[in-house]
Amino acid sequence: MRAAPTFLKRLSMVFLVTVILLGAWQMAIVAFRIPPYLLPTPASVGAAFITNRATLIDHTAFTLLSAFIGLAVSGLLAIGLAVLFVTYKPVSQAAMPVVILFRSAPVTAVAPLIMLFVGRGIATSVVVVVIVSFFPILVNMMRGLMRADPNALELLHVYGATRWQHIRYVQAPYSLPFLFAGLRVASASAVLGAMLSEWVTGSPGLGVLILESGVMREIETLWAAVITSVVFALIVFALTSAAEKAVLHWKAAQPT
Amino acid sequence: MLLLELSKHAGYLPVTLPAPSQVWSALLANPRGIGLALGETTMNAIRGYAVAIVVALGAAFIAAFVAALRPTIYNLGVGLSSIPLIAATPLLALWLGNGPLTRSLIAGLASYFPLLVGAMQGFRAYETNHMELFHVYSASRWRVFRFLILPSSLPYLFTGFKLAAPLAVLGSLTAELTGAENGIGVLMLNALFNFDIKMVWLTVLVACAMSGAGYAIWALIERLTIYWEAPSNSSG
Amino acid sequence: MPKDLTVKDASKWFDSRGQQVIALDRASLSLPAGGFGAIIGPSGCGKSTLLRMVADIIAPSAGSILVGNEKPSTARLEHAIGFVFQSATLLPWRTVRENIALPLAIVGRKSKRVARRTPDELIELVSLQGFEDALPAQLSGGMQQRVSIARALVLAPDILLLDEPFGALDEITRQRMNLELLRIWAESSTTALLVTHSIDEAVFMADSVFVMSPRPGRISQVVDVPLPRPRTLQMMSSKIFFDTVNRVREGLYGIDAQGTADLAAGAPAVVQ
Repeated sequence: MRAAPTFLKRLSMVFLVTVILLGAWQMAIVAFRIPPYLLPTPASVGAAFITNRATLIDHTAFTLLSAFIGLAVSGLLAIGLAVLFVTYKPVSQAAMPVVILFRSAPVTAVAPLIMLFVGRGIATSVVVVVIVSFFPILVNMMRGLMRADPNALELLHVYGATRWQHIRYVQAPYSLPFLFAGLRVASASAVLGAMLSEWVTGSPGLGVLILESGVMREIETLWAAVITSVVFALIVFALTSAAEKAVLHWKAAQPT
Repeated sequence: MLLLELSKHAGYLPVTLPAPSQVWSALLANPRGIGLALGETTMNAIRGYAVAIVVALGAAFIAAFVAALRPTIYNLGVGLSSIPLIAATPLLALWLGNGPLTRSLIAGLASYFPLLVGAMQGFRAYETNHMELFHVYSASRWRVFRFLILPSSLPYLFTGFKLAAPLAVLGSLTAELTGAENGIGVLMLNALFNFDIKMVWLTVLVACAMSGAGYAIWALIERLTIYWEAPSNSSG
Repeated sequence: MPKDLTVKDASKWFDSRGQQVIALDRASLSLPAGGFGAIIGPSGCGKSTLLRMVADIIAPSAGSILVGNEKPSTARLEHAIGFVFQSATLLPWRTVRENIALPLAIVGRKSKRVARRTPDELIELVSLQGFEDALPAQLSGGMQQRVSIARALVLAPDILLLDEPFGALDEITRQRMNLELLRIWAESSTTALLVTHSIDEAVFMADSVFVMSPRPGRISQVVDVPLPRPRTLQMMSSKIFFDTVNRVREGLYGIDAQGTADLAAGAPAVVQ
């Protein structure tokens, strides 16, 4: 196992760099007397993490939960629709304009409408997440399904394979890299969509925590919340990339 | 539309869905205010979008010429894009004040990533054969860029432009939610708090039209610019 | 002015996962100024590698290559080399005329190279009158390749290198293009070196056929073609043509192995 030491090495590098950055941050504030409203010290942000940990955990859980549920729903929906669209071309021609209309609508504009219909609360966040993450998955999945090698499809046809077998043995494997590319984009916008809809509905999530601590000038809490959101965005990105690597072991090159 | 109008009058629709005529009347009630708000939001979006184009294309240009800097530039881009827009807005507002500068920068931040990715992919989208041809004629780097790299990259650049324009609108709108004085986002939020359904719909439709227009303008320019077809595979 | 070509013990090796792979092993050939040579061999014998080394697209690991009295890099910087790729390699956004004029645009006006031809003159030479303003996507494969040949001639190169230029075309188009290429070459006064995997094509076109064998790639034999010029299609059914084809064939399949040579001789001969 050669992977383990390199992973540990990278992890320790990341740790080291973080420590150095934090040290530089603290020293810069002391040395240049930067007022705390511009940039709080790492120590005070750390303290904010500890004193507000209950709030932080609650709000983060709310945001992540709505992002996760929304992503799961839109993933299933998008994959199903992609198969349907690719299999039955007329359906796709009829439905695509509607899909594109949804996609070009800015999240900030969609969220208020959704709230009018489903009310304040987690439902709005989930629906908004579904809407923002649906499109990249659908488009990529369709592109992948259509990218299948025509010769392989003809081969299956010659063997009298069923529609389902076509998908199972040729189209689905071909589309996996594209699906992951879509999921990566979608998961980033899912977190963003969840936080944005909180801004509109006022539900207790990370987005609202950032907004309110910003308005109230609780700088340390603001920084704690911002750092949490960045860390989670990175974790979500890393997770989808790792899942992609694990599933696509047979494919070295990445799709665009 | 007609169907919506009729069913509203017949009382079939919920309170949350107004008739088209009601939305229209909301526009007529205050055309100047809405026009001003539209101008404000659009200007911030365009300013940010312009900055994003200059920065992203400049970075991609450097990456195209200095291969050693390519991973650094790309990783910086990915890193910057992983900061949620919503996290950046209050911080920028603290540092730069709650004004047009902050909101333009947020619009730029929201839209630069597809531009960067499009330009970086595009500047490497030339065919190896073509590059060898230019090598055989010992073309200068600038001529390689002008005659080969730039035209080959246009489809990718336009994809970036198209995807980024609605994002700039999104950024501009979102930045207004932290407490701007004027803008479509502000009108939207106020209407929401006052439960002014007509106004919510009007602002939402205006916002959608803005980002749709951003996309459509670039799609039109693309169609006018790329007159050649996709390279055909002439192998028999 | 056409230049002669001298390749002496040119080798090329790559490192692949710590192992050295020899793509080309001490290849030597010489071609007189204004001559027409053909390199033939199976896939992977290094024939394209050799051609690319002459064009200074890749550098040899050992050995020397001289175009006239100059290194390939010098010849390239003087724009003395014309290169035709297997695919037409046209820029899809430039019209036929603009594609042919591309080398002129690349080189600019400052170049010392005076021997040039106008794009319109070349359009006539490759019989593409009426298509000057067409885009590559509107042309057939054969026409695209004609544009690419015209482009290779626009700076009046001293040596013209052709890397399986008609490999992607059908047999009938290919035959016609070969005839045209011979006519163009005769009118252009340039040295020509053609890479091909068709025995008929090599013998029909060239004065000398350099036969290559794979693993490691090397030139195993040189077969001179005693056919007069200008070549005609009738020559393809002559005894000289038939004998020369057989000599190339024997060179390709190995004269050491008697059985293989017999098999080759017994294989169906030229069908024309």
